Amino acid sequence: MKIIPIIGLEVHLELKTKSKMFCSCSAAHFQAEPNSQTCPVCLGFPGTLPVPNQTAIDWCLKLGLALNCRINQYSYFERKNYFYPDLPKGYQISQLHQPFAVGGFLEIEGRKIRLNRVHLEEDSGRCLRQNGQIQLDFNRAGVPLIEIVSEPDLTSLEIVKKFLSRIQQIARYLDVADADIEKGSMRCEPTVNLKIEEDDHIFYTPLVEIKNIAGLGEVAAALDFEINRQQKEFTETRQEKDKPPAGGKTTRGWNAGQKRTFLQREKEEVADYRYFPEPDIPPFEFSEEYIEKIRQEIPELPDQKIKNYLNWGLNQTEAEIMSYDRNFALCFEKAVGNQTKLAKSIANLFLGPLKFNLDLEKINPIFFHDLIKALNKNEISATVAKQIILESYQTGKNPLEIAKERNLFQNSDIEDLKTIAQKVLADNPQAVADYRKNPNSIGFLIGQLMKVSAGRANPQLARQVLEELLK
Amino acid sequence: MKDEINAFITLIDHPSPGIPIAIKDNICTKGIRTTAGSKVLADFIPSYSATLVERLENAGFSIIGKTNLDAFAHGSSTENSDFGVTLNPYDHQRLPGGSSGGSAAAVGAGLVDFAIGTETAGSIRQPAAWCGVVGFKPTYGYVSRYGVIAMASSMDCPGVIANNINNVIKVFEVISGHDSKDATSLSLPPFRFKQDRLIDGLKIGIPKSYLKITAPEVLEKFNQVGDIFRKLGHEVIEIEMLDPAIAIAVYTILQSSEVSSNLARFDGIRYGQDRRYFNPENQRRILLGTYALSADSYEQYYIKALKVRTLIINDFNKHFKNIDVILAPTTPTTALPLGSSLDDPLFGEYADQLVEPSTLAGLPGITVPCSLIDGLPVGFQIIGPRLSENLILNLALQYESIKN
Amino acid sequence: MIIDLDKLSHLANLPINNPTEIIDDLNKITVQFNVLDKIDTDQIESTFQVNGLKNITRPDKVQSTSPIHQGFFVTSSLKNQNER
Repeated sequence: MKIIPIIGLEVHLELKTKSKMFCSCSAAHFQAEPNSQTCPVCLGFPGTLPVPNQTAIDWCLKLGLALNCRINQYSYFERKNYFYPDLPKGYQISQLHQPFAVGGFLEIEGRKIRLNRVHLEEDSGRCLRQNGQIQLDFNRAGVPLIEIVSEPDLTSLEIVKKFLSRIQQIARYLDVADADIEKGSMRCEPTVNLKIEEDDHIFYTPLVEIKNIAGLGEVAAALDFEINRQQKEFTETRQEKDKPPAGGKTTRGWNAGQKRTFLQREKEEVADYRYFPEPDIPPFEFSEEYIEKIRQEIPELPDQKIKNYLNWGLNQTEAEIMSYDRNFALCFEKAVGNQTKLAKSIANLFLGPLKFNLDLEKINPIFFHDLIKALNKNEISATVAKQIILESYQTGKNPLEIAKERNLFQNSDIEDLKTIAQKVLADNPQAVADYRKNPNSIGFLIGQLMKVSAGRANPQLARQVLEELLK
Repeated sequence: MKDEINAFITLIDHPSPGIPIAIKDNICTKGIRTTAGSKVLADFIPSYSATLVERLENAGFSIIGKTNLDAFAHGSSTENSDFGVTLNPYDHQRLPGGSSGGSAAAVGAGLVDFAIGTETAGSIRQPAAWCGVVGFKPTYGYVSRYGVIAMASSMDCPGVIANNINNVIKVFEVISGHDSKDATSLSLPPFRFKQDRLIDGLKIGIPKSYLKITAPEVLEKFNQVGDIFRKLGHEVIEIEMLDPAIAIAVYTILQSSEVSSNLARFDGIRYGQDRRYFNPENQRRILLGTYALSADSYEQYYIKALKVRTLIINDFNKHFKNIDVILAPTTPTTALPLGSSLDDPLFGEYADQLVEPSTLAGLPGITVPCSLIDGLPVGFQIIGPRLSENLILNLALQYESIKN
Repeated sequence: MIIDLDKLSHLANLPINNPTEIIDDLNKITVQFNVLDKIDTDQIESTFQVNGLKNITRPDKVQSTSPIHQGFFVTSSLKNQNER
């Protein structure tokens, strides 16, 4: 029996606009006093009207383009009608038939994961259950939300995790969303079923959508549970279809505490949201020029940066780390400048002491070039280089100046090293004896030499000198 | 002021100084109870005013009260109000029309000179005709809908009710013009009236199909209006427009669909009472709209109606290439007796059929009183292309000055 | 068309006390809609906005209003409501 999971993802991202999607309340709702960021519009008071946030729309177009979507030149909002206490108007302003962006894809590990759409909508308020009551906080109601829907092209938990990370990364690169899963500004609802190949037959299990997942780690756990559950259910009940299921999916909620999914809504009851075009908001028409202008604002994205860094000689892992955060990547690129041959060495400097929240202004490429050149000439040891680059960043001094001031230049004076080596050998007779038995234990003696020379000895020369003396 | 006809739901004890004006009670007034004629909002006091109300107050008008209406503007009689029916000032045994019945009756009874109404399908023009006053509905989007409790968002139009054209103009100039709080409001400054003696003479079209459904006695009075316009130097011809029954179907589907959604916010959690307090007419419209939008019916009803709406708009546009304005009776009959609307779920459709097509197309229109039949007022209406307010008002003024 | 009143009542969040009357009314009203079936709308576009307005937005600026309500709004439990 061969089991292939078929997974589709629905991702919601809260945009980090200053104001809400359809009113001028602040959109920064995290941990604010309940209902302190509301107004008659986002509370759905009678007679109030929505006016769309221009920035939110531009950012949706931008994200859509960054995800390789096609922008619909004619687009409009629609009302998604349903009742829930945290939905003030009794409908959510969203999109369906003509979303801002359609199609698109991401390449994950050589697989093309297709996207169905990237559209814009408003968030609901929050329900909190306390003492048998439902307490409602509408601070979040009306915050702009981007919805990204993938096709069911994901086939493993690994790919799901990478897909979500990439979306998070791109959103942060564009600076349109914090995409913080712990804070709830990025949410994910997977839909999963299994394709089961047994002997010559192919079976499909029914579609299940999983809700209430609060964390990237939980996505994997929930999917893992559900895949196993479906497999068990198939084996036990042989309830299957021999063609891919059409529409009608069951909703199951994820219980993180119990680590299981449980039934929420019966399969046959498909929600009827009665979508219709939002009459309070005129439609949108985007010219080619306008779309192109937005496209020009998209910075170089991670996948291109990785290609560049690989060309510069970094390996895949290094390239991924260096490109993970956009600001960090820009600092790295600034430090490299046109000296791409030094890129790998410069990367090492970043990977050690320089933390992630760097100020691009403070990166001076000359400092990096000088330091690497000195390193390559063995004037400085790698250890020292990592020390002084941090200090150089913090103080704005050329690292070589710092090295000079604090006498950190590497000691490559053979005679001097010989003297120190002789002292080390004299002070460590046991280590010498160990070396006679096992030449690979020379590391200890080298370490001692480094210690005595306060880290300034050239480690390769130190080894050479010691080995000579020990002959 | 003694309100014998129940034109007002709320009367202000000590109104601020200024020109008295009455506001239909589906328009939010800060600090003043706003009920929409419904028990659901019986105790609702908004903390904000509609933009049009703010503009009126800034221009020196003073709100003296909130007028009666069919609950949530669902109706053409004011009999669907949860606060009792308003009586027609000309005959207290008859209906004032609706849904702006309170506003029309208040002006007709001389309780106030100016009133604001709203029209989604004749709700200004029809009661104004039955109460013998001038009722004016501008082009959709000319007056901001912010703060106007929504019925059918793509059609709702606040407008003016008064005793004469000049008073209508006075108010319209104040409340019209772009509002950034309403995304459907036109990008125009407030209307400014320019007198035009129309010396070249206009070409006026009378839709034959509208005449077919008008009662004979009303038709007789209406024909006199046509004659007057001819004497004024205008060419008056008959034109062939789409059957009003088509507009009725389109209007009913689109309006109830939007209503079912617009009334979803009334759940009693954040304000007002819960949904058990909707009256039967409200319930009917919500259910009808829910039905028209539901998955099984959506294509056949809602989408179809949107497309036929385009045909209705095209029909008007086609005719307006050849004529300047449309002239027609405002209502098929004079005011009907109290109780007429109660057993008939199609009451509104019948009463409004001469005004529904123009509302669907967002066109401006005005009703002007022209005569009496057995002591009951008769009105005629002028409908113009979009943004032809100046033309319509000038033509109406011409008629008025001749009549006087 | 057959009207499923239970489903409608649920979708509209409206308790119905007089089902036969309502079904009767709804049927009376929907009969009028049949006039539309005869109209050819094959190549016709929908009009959901008569204004012809496009691209109406507001800038991303915060304008706080004084709070209408302090603290939580409260409602009773979510019986008969689907968990989201």
